[in-house]
Amino acid sequence: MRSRSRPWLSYYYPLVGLSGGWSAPPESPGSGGMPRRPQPPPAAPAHMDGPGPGGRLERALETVPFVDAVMDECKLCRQQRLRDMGLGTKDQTTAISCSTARSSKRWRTFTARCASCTPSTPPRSRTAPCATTIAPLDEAPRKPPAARPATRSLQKGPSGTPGPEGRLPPAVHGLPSGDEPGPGGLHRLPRQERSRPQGQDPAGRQPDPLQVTQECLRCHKAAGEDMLKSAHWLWKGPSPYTLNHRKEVKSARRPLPPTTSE
Amino acid sequence: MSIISNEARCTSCHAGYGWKDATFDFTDMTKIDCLVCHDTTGTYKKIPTAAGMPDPKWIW
Repeated sequence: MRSRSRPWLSYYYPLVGLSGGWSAPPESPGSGGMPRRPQPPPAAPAHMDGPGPGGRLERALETVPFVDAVMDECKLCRQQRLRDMGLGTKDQTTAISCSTARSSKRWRTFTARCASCTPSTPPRSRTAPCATTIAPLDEAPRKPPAARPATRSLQKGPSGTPGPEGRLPPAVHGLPSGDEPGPGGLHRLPRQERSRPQGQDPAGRQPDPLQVTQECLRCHKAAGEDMLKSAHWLWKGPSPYTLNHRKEVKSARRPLPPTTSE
Repeated sequence: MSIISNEARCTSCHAGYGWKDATFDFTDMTKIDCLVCHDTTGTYKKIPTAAGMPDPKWIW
């Protein structure tokens, strides 16, 4: 019983400390041990002189406006409220557990600072980071150009498994093909895979933009699927960083289904 | 200013290629413009009227 109420306490007390300036939240003198909603410490003494256990149960079930307001507060609203009070992220020196979920399994995985309230979930297991942006080039074991997983084994070590080879041509972006892979271990699109007419491409080595995307998707298919659901792609969706509009879905021009009128 | 006739200009800021009219397929992953965010050269650019297509003169 006691341990169940602890997530609430740990969630609540730093908020109290930040928002109200109350010093040292007092231990509630209640003897019930019943899991109940945390009360604001200043109000706690007034509530505790209720008429016995029956009254406490009723109080436990009643809605506490302040807590509800905090739970319903969006991240931006909270940051702004705290900023108006002169409080920033650096004013909170200890990270605390913070969650809106009641299941104990969930709240353990979330550790956050309330002032910023960014849940720091354990990093998902990273497969090979994008070689075009991340891979260091110094220790890169230079392999023959045919060996496709050269950049991949860089991150995963000798056990790195080669990807599906030969399905698509190796790609380049950022470098004209024919050059050595430059800083960042850039991918390579072969010269013969160009799809543009020679006239538009005086250098004769211009790949199509879609080829580049295809090469990205070869390893980052999940990222592509995520992108299709994102506001960057759909141009519609909720606006969580717009005050007072975070829950409203503001549709931009919704793409119409393909019509046959044209 | 009409949306219909100027749509390619509006959608030139879209992170995709070829949203020039209502027939654009929003389920086609191959139309995603990866480079607009992940270009590492700092020279990638889209042209203002091409529905998201990059500058053809840009050297990949």
